[in-house]
Amino acid sequence: MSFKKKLVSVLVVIGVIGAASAAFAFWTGGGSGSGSAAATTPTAVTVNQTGSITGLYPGAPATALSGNFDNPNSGAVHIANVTAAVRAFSLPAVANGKPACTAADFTIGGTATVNAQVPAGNGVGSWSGLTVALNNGVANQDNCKGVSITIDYTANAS
Amino acid sequence: MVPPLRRRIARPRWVALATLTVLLLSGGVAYAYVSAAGSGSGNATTGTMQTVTLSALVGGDAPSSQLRPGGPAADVILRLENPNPFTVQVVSVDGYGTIAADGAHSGCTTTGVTFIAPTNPNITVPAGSSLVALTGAATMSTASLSACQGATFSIPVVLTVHR
Repeated sequence: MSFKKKLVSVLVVIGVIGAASAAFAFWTGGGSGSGSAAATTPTAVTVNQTGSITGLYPGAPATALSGNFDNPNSGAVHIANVTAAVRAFSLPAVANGKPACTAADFTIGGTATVNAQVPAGNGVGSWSGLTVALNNGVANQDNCKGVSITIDYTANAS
Repeated sequence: MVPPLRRRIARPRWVALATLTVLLLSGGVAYAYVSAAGSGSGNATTGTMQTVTLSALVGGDAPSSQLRPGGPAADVILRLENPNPFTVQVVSVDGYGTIAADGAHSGCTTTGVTFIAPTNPNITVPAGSSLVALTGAATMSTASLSACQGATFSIPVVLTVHR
């Protein structure tokens, strides 16, 4: 082998070794940070009473109440149950010598367990199981004749 | 160096692990939900009470006992019309006005008949038409004219009913 050929071979070997060395050299780096995700706070649903309740009279069998929901959220929400109460009132406005008709003359009975996911939208889902009755009181209830009462409903999340 | 056979086995293991993880996560999601509360209102209306009226007797309506001058008290019958969809209780029956004989006994100008208002009648009247008997609610005195024989007397009364 001539000197020239030997020199070329040495350069080639050096070149190969250099390349191999470069293959094991790199920079490393780490990092840290955080992302975020927010859980939604659902907007309150509206409890609707469906059906018209009329003709209540003292001692009549309790009349069933039922309804559905307006869910303004973008997704379904879970409702555990619905409760109800007769809104306070007293009639007549001017005393007429007879006992006033008040919320105490009425009874809300039963339970309305929902325990279900209510989808987004209006008039969705359903509830039932509550009743309303006009008590058969011992006192005069003439002031309860033809009275329209308001029943307030509450949807409970748990 | 990993033999070709080990590489073929290694990939399915990862797939299996990944699948298991996804299933576990999916199972966890099924128990999570967004709950919400809310409120609303509805209405209910009470009915009213229609007046209970007395109507004419119909065929077959007859008291179980009859009057005679100076005799014992006899029954008075009332045919009541209750237009309400519920039963009512008659709590008082009071007489008012003049007791008169039927038109076929125009000579019976002095009836001698007296109405005896029952105390605490507490009579249940169902919805619709019904016949009510007031036991021993009328008497006839000896002042009754003989023209009153066989007459039927109209006895005006006013009722108080409760629901």
